[in-house]
Amino acid sequence: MSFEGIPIYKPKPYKKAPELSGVAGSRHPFVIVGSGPIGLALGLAMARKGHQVTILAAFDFISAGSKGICYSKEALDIFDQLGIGERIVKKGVVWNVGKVFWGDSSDPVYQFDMLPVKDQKNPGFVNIQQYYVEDYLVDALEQMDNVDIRWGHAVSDMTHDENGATLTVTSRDGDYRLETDYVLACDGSKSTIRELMGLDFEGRIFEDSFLIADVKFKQSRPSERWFWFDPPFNKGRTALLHKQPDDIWRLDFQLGWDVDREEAIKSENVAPFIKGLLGEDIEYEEDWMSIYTFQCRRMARFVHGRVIFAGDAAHQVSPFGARGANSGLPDTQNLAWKLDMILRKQAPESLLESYNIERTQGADENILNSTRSTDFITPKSEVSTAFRDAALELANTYEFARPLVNSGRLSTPTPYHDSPLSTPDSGEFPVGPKPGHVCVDAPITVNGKDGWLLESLGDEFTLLHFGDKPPSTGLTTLTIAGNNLALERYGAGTSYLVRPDKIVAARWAHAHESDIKKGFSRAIAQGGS
Amino acid sequence: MKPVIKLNTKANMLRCDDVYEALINVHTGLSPQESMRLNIKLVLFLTNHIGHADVIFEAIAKAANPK
Ligand SMILES: Cc1cc2nc3c(=O)[nH]c(=O)nc-3n(C[C@H](O)[C@H](O)[C@H](O)COP(=O)(O)OP(=O)(O)OC[C@H]3O[C@@H](n4cnc5c(N)ncnc54)[C@H](O)[C@@H]3O)c2cc1C
Repeated sequence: MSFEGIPIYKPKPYKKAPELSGVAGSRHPFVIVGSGPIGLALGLAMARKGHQVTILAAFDFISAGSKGICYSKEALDIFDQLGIGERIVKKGVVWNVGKVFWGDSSDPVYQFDMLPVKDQKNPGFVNIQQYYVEDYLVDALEQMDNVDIRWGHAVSDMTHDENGATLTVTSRDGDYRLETDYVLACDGSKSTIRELMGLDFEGRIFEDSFLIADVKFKQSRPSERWFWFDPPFNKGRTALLHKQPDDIWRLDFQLGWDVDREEAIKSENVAPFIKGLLGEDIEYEEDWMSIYTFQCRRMARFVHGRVIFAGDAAHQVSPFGARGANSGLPDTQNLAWKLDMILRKQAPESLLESYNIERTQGADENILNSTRSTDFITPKSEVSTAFRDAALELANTYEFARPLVNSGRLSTPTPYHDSPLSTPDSGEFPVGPKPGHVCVDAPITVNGKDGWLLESLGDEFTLLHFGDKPPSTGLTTLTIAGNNLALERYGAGTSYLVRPDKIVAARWAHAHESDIKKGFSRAIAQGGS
Repeated sequence: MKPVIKLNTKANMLRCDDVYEALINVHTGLSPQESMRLNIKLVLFLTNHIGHADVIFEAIAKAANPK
């Protein structure tokens, strides 16, 4: 099944908008535009906080095809917070190890572990087709009665001012208008909202194309990420192999710039690559073949008055490092608690500026990393090719050169340096996450039950205390006592003020109530700066 | 505070003529491409041995613009 060349994973019911049946719609607090992983995750986060959620989805189906497959530990922690993490991990293929090969040698020149800190709930990575992720998000949304996903309703026009926007929505029964205080634009890299506002989206285009072959076969191979530089089956170029659920494997071959897309994905042209990588006698079925090219770019600002951008609409990266959806998901987590507190009038609207500051910083780090990986993988000059090959050659024999080999620096959380919401440390902290950094996980025992630190932090600001005398505050407090790994990772006697997105806002060796109050005010942009 | 380590731009090596000669002799018979690759490997070994990013950045800047 497909629609205009887009393969369909699951049809979804189109319904005529009430606005077109003479029901006067009331003004929305916010409308989410786009039903990719980012719009859906943002919708679920807001719905779980009790808000009325409206999501506009251009198509009336969840699409199949080859998109994101690698979800990082950070993304899994976010899915946990949304209540679907365990379902994703259960369906997905867990992996922590990546291997890099060069030429025809069957020994890797380099190998890395994505989860250097063990004893955390979630693995370094899980591979799962993006449509499962979207489907699980939709399932969770459909179970809530404060959610309206409008399948087959696309924004086609918008006017906006400082109080909000009026969206023109196009559906098969005609156009109608929606009034809203905020627009949350999660409408992907070709964002309609961004184009309607005439906003910039600048960065680098990489002149290279890649064949993405999702194929089905049965062969026992380890669940690891294998990357080749200059393999015999793709001379002078690269290849990547990843395992997905349902015996599907992702094979990714660099093709160069001038390719005829139609020709390149024909079975007879794909076969030599697949057989070259998997062996002549491999029996496989084609799942989906596609060609992609990519860019690394972001909008200058993500917040434009009451129109806020998240996910691919705001930033795009090359796929090396799996930083697309993995960096859009923290956008949603960052934005959800801020918008929630603003809508509840618990925080000033100026708190939104910190979303802009923190997530553009996150996007910059992702773009930097993925640009560097891309330059290593597809060197653009003679000297950069020579550096690449020299590093690979030395990595074979010398340990020091192995970390130079860059086949994609896989997505890890981006710390917020100098965030206006963070209280700088006073004093020395030998261990523990710094302000602006995400909390590290650890096994803990709460009320006699075994659990994990991250999942025990709720959806609100929490004071995390490591000892038996938590300071008194009006905040939810989680006390972790005893001699355990969590204390080792955070330091005995310390207190951490943790934001709803599990980022450390402030920490103290010996916390006083007044300091905690100050740290909290700062973390919600309240009162001066 | 970590001490700031600066690039040493004073004469710092005994047997400098021997080293200079060896740096050139190793290229005997190599094509320009092979020579470039060899120089790069040398750079990679030595930068790792130095081990201080700031020193390398300073050397890069001074090499690109010696004045
Ligand atoms: C080959 C490939 C491999 C990838 N691998 C990874 C990976 O391993 N890990 C990873 O994290 N990321 C990966 N990515 C990137 C990932 O797929 C994207 O980052 C992710 O889909 C972005 O989600 P999004 O919701 O922001 O945008 P999209 O998924 O593009 O969703 C946007 C949605 O908005 C809808 N829409 C658009 N315009 C309108 C409108 N006017 N009105 C209403 N709705 C509208 C669209 O129909 C769509 O549903 C990969 C991408 C590709 C192509």
